[in-house]
Amino acid sequence: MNQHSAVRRDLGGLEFSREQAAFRSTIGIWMFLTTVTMLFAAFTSSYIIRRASADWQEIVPPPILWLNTLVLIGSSSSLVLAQRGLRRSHAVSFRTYLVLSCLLGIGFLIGQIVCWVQLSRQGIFLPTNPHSSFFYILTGLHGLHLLGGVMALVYGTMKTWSADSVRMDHLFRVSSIYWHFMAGLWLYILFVLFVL
Amino acid sequence: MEEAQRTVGRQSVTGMLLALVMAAVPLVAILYATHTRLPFVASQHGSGIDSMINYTLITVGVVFIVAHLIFAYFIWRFSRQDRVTSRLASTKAEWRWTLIPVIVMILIAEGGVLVIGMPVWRELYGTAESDNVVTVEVTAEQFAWNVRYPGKDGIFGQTAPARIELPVNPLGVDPTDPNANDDLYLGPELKLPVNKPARILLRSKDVLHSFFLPHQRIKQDAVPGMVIEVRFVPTEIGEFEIACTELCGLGHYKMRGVLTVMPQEEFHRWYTESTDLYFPGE
Amino acid sequence: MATAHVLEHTHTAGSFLGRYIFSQDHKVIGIQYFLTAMVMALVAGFLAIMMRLQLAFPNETWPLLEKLFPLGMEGGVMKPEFYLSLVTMHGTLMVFFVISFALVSGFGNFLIPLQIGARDMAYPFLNMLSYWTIVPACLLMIASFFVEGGAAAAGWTAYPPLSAVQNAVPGSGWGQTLWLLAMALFIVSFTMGGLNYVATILTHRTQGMSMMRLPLTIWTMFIAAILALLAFPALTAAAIMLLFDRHFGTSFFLPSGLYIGEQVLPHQGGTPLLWQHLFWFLGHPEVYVLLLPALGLTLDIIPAFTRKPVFGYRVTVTSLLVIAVLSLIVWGHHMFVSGMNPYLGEFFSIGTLLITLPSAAIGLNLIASLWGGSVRLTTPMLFALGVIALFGTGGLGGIFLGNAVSDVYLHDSYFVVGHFHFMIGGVTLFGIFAGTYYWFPKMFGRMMSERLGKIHFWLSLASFYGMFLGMHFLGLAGAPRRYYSFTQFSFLEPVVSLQLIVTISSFVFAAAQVIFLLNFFYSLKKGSKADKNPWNATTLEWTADSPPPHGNWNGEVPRVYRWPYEYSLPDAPQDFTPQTTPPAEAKVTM
Ligand code: HEM
Ligand SMILES: [Cu+2]
Ligand SMILES: [Cu+2]
Repeated sequence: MNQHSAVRRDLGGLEFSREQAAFRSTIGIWMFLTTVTMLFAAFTSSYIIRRASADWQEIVPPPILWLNTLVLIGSSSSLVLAQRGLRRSHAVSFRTYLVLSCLLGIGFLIGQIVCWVQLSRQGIFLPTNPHSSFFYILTGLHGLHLLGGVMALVYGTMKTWSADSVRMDHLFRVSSIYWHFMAGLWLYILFVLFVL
Repeated sequence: MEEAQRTVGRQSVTGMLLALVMAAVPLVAILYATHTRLPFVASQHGSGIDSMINYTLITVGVVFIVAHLIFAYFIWRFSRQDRVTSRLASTKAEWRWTLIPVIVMILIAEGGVLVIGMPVWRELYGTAESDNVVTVEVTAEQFAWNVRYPGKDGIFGQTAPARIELPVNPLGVDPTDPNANDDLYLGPELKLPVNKPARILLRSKDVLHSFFLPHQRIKQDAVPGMVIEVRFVPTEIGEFEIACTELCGLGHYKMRGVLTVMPQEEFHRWYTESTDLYFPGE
Repeated sequence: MATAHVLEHTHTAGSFLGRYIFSQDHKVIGIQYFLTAMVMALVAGFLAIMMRLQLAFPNETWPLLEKLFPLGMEGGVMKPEFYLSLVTMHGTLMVFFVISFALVSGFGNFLIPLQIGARDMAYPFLNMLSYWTIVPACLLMIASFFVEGGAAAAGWTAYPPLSAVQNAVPGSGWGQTLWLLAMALFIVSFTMGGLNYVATILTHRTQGMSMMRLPLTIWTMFIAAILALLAFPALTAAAIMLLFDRHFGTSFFLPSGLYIGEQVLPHQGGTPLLWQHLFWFLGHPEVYVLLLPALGLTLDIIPAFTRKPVFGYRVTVTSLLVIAVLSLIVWGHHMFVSGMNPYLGEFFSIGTLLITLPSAAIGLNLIASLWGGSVRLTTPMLFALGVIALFGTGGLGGIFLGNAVSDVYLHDSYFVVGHFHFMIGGVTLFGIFAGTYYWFPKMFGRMMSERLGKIHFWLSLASFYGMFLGMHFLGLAGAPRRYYSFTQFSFLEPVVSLQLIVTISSFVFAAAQVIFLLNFFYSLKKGSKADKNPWNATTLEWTADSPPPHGNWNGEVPRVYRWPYEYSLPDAPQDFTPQTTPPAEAKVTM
């Protein structure tokens, strides 16, 4: 019994300064993004090797893909504006941009599903050719990662009305690093699939 | 104090024992070594591979023995003292000592591969083109080797997996291809002339296999979708075995083939007069 | 943030479920991993014994085993495909579900916060999640023995096409799918663990615990975690592509014109070698993920029983870092004869042999750590000395295999099997045992029996050499690995007689492990009580109670003033000076 109260006193007292906790979450998110980077690096090298085979055929993506790209960039920019609102303690603009960012993120995911449906209507499926296989897998994986980001953002947005500001700060900083990274990753994937 | 002495006494027995065991490990290794050896070598580059292995066996063997003796000595010596006699070396001294293993390894490991290894590697994989070669196609499948010669015209008949038909056309050779008419087919038996470069085109119909000629020191994976060239010069006449050394399924352990190395004239005679045609009917 | 942290803790610490099952306490999680590893070791060890039975007595029948595996052992005779399932599952379970669990996840979780002076890991909830992710993974692996076709049979390396085409081998049906799913869960869990390790070590060190004052255990765990985070994604990518090739008709690894099961498969243009590159990009660092922590534990145990500092702490840390970097660029040494470009072979050969330099430096430091010491041959020390010996032999064997030219002959032979059992089987197991005997009092508050421990050591050591030193020579004689029997080839005749020695040794080894288990569970209940610091050691965990309470230290977290190897300091009051002793009481070395 006393043990636990001792821990509590201690932990509550000198254990963590705010900076330390911030440092911890920054390290965590960047380490995670490192593994995400390695995952996509592995796919990139597979892509380059696989492309050397004779059966390679380029697919033409449905135009909605480019619209989606704009939506995702918009979402990321909106988050930057929200960040600025937060820094200036401007609650209304912070919340508005945050909500906008979430909505655009969800919009992107829906857009991606539409993109897949359009592609399959053209008769291009996962096993159709290697380029389409990579297209579905890379965009699918990115979508999954983004889904996690959307959930974190939505959760964070809901919390802006309840949680204390310190906790909010963390959550927000970490999820925005992640969110911007996902936007960057998206551009990278497009580069690999259609430019490289 | 007495207690301390007793423990030191008791443990110096353990220390002695462990030191003896450690000193004996190289002996066990040597004992094993006298009971097993590599199959005798029967190819030109094979003696190069053997010198590489022997160089490593000897140099590594010396390190192995010396390290075990030092280790044994340390265990014996320092389990007998109940007081620390040397605590901490200076950082400089630590780095200086590091030079010893580093230099030894540069000589043994890197030196070995650069000086002895690389020339053998070139001999094995170099692209030295020569007209005077015997070209054979070896196609692996679950769980057999298929040996095909191009015949007198020196050109293989074309193959396609879709034409495979068992047992009459195991490789899917195109019967309408005129080059196929004189192709020779030996199933799992490979025949080669002695002292003449052999050029083997290695293929696989299904999964990975590995073409292992223990006496000729050849090991090369067969990869479906690829044709991999293996070159070597057999130097001994006789019958040898071919084994598979890449897991290929439940028959992996019995995927046996036979390599017959014959005198050049005899091989030539067989090759020109052979009736082992791929399409015997035609 | 901080307050929330405490609340979570005090909440869950209450109930039984929160305390022992869904605990977020790093010590409980570490022990959960440890016990899980023990169970999986029994399974994987049993598979190994069955293989050894078959290899030594290829013509016997085993009616008893038929009861357990009615399909694989029909009529009491082992089927070749069942042997392949045994090899595959033994290798997979041992590497990922035994050694990784016990060494990295078990000791890592238990020791990291205790040795760096933290109350817990950085993300306790993630830690719990990581443990509960591997539970279904274990169940899937075991269940795969009983599905149609049996467990995966394409080797722990799962090379396609064998692993990709359902009817290439019976185990490539459901068994391989379950294998892939279980591996995916394992990777997810290991990633969570790795994030936790890195973040904890970087941000949760107590005051005064600079990086150069970390015990080597922590250094090796840190490097292992980073390597895992960098390397595992390659296997994730490969596993995803293999699953798609297997079930959704893509062709990443499957080339055109495969003729399997009397039909031509529709796949086109894939490259089987791609899998090998991706697999070994993970596989090679993975062996260091296992090996380095074993060396770390050993380096921390030795000074407690020589009563002097380890030799060359800085050299060792540098060497560990060099090994880690090199290990990421040498994967091709597993592919010298795979059909890869021979120029790459030269590059990989030179790179691989570079690793012998820092490895030999660590070897020297291990041996030199005995110099001038007062060596006390307790059970943990005996096993630590065993680690040194096995590391030496295993490392020297690697020189043959890293050299592309000798590897042409030795690749995929029993020489390889002998070599990697010394390294990832022997060094790691002996490291785990040394660690268990050493930290058992901290984990459970009781000592293990020294007498049983010594019997365990001597039997294990002797039988280990009997098994795996012998295998090197089987390999030199040409014996290929993954062979169900050696009776089909006349060049393998000399090999057959050696098999019996190996098999008998493996029985002795198994028996020795039974003694260990008895000792473990007996001591858990009946061992003599341990006090805080039974070995008179210097690192932080020995300043906590045995076992440490939730939160590790009552009162404040200790502060650190010196490096972890302060033994036999001249003029100090005792022959060990804990890291917490302030400079006023004894001079500070580092
Ligand atoms: C009880 C002690 C052990 C025995 C008797 C044993 C025996 C064996 C045998 C007979 C093989 C199959 C060789 C073949 O047919 O190619 C094998 C493979 C293997 N073992 Fe062990 N082993 C033991 C412990 C370990 C440990 C502790 C590890 C830890 C990593 C391990 C890892 C492996 C691996 C990775 C393979 C390769 C599997 C494959 O080829 O796919 N073994 N072992
Ligand atoms: Cu095979
Ligand atoms: Cu490796």
